[in-house]
Amino acid sequence: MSLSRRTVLKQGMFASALLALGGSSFLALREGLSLPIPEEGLQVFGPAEYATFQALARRAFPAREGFPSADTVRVAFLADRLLARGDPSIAREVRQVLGLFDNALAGLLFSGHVTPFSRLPPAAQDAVLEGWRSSRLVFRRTAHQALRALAHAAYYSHPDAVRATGFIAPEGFHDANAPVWRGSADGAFAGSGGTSR
Amino acid sequence: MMGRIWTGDEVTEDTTLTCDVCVVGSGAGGGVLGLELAKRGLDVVMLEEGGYHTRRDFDLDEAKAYSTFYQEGGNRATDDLAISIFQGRTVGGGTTINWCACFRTPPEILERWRDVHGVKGLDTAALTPHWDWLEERLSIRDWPIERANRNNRILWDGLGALGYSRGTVKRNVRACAALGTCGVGCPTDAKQSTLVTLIPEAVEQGMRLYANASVRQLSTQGIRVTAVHADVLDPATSRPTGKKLTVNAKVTAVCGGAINSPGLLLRSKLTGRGNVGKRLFLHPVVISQARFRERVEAYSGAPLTVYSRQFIDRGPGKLGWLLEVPPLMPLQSAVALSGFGAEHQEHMASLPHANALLSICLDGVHPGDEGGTVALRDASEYTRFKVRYPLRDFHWEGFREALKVSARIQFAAGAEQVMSPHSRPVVMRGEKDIALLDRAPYSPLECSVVSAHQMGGCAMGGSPETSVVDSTLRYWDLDNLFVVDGSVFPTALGVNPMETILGVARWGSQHVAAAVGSTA
Ligand SMILES: Cc1cc2nc3c(=O)[nH]c(=O)nc-3n(C[C@H](O)[C@H](O)[C@H](O)COP(=O)(O)OP(=O)(O)OC[C@H]3O[C@@H](n4cnc5c(N)ncnc54)[C@H](O)[C@@H]3O)c2cc1C
Ligand code: SF4
Repeated sequence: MSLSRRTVLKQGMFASALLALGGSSFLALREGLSLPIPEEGLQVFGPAEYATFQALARRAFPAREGFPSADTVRVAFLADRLLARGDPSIAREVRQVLGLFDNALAGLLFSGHVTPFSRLPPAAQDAVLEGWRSSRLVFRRTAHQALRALAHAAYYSHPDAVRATGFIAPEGFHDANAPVWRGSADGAFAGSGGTSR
Repeated sequence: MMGRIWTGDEVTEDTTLTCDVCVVGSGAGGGVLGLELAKRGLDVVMLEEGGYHTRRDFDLDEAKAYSTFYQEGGNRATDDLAISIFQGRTVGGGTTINWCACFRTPPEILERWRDVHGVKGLDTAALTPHWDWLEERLSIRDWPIERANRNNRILWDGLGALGYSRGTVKRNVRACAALGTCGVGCPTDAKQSTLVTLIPEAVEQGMRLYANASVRQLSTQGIRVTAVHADVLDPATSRPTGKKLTVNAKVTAVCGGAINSPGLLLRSKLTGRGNVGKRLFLHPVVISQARFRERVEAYSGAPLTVYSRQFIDRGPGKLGWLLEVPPLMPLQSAVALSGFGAEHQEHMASLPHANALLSICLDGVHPGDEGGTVALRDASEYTRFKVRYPLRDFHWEGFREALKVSARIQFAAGAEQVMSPHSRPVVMRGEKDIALLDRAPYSPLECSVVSAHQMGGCAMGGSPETSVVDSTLRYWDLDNLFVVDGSVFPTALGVNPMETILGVARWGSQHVAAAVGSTA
């Protein structure tokens, strides 16, 4: 549930400096994975962030029988839509995190590779993710948590993923046409409340 | 006066209202207060920033529910994301999406508020008639062990096997079908939230409720609040429409809940001599997950019906905890439970066999445990506050011991595997593995912590130097401003907070009503 974020990149001088450096360096400009943009368009992510997030989602949800793939579920697309519903500042921070995550300079500093995360082979991506998860720097763990939670929220918002867990929502209880009471002009309140006058 | 409920799309121009009392927030505190004042014949306007969602909207779709009915779309957390914070944002507030566990306040907590924090007149005797009334009105009844779902039964059995104290929980339900979906809204109106009980009754008594009205500021002059300023929100997007709602009331009651109430006061430059936003308590929770050979189906059946306070008091300087179980809905479990990649998928694939135990830690009752803080963020961050909650050795020691106890209980009840909430979970296959928990890392984000019980931030107390409101819930430095919700608690409770908030609000309504009389 807890998808995104926070002042992830504002936490500590080191992170701020890295962000500033990352934006201007040669390495930072190394291009990450490119993926076709969904036909519905994107509301929050830019193309690079979209591809980075989808690359992460492929590692979060490796092939497993009975479970839909990250691509079937379109995790990055659903994440984009989840972010679009929230406070714009959250989306801004997730985009910053993704930028840093795929940044080759950050990669060089943290794990010694100069290939953006999204273009690394799967095993190397897993190692990068593990590096962020278990880092001694709290801001890296925060970033990992933000992206992990967003990916899980997006994936398990898809009915096929929910079904794969074995969960079956109770049926026959929800009434999409239940009347909505707004006051006594609509008659007495039809909910379960009595009165206590 | 005809009462009614309006939504943001119906407020098509800037609007100014006058009334006796403006109630900000419609949750446990606001819901009770609104009814009590309306019943006294007072003209009440209630403003709620969340939407007016009713059983028509409670379609059990988790993703929609969290992003619509919860604060910050279900993403509220401390600044470092180390503690996820679940809190309601809808008409009825937390009572609309909570798990229906009802407890009266432990007497020792009220005694502490009196003896340590200088609160006067709020004791078990004063609250009992209000609880009696509420229990009748909201149908708060014991949920006997025979009706417990397997998830709760595991806790019951494990506690029994180890000789620990145990009890069943009272629930505010009527004709509950035990669907287990309380956290995403009750589709049958069985849950006796303020949404389906006290608020409609207050509206029938004449209260005007505006949903999608986010109060941004209180104007003050001298020792009085002169106006309440709200942005009207678009019900579809929850973004401001540009229309303003202004309420000129004789008395204002802030009932936005812990975090939002202090946040609103701070936005209004009301700092309570530096006390607003301090002493925020979260009942921080660590979750121990177990797998059983048989199906548990912890997403089905009344969610929370068994508890134990065996470990609530571990002696001076030691964090104690309350034991309960949560429902395990897929999306919520996916985010809350640990692990990543194939390991995480493995846990999700066995969701029907999963059980989880909550250790709900009692904060704010030990010397030096000042809890967390709420502060303002950038004005562009519309729904967000800067929430800090430093986790110290004191907390981690308690979490570690709580996880060990949980694992023992789960094994005693027959678990085949128990898993800790570490970002790389400690996996235990039997009693002998419990010692592994001693070697696990305990620090922010390496061991996950959550909260669904926020309290404090506008503490009640005996002195304006150490608290925000006095023992009548009145803001110390203003004549006609009250705070009536969980934010006034000087400490956490060690039991689920709703019934305490309901009781305190009903008890406090006399003071709010008196303030209208004295200023009319
Ligand atoms: C998932 C979950 C499960 C829970 N389970 C239980 C349980 O089983 N038992 C129990 O006792 N407790 C439970 N709780 C906690 C309980 O629901 C809360 O403690 C309680 O509702 C808090 O009451 P309150 O009046 O302080 O605030 P709330 O009930 O949160 O109400 C505050 C309301 O004010 C509104 N508001 C805030 N700021 C503004 C503003 N500026 N303008 C307008 N409106 C505003 C909010 O949108 C909200 O609706 C649970 C909570 C959650 C999230
Ligand atoms: S368990 Fe009962 S109260 Fe909760 S959602 Fe289901 S029917 Fe409603």
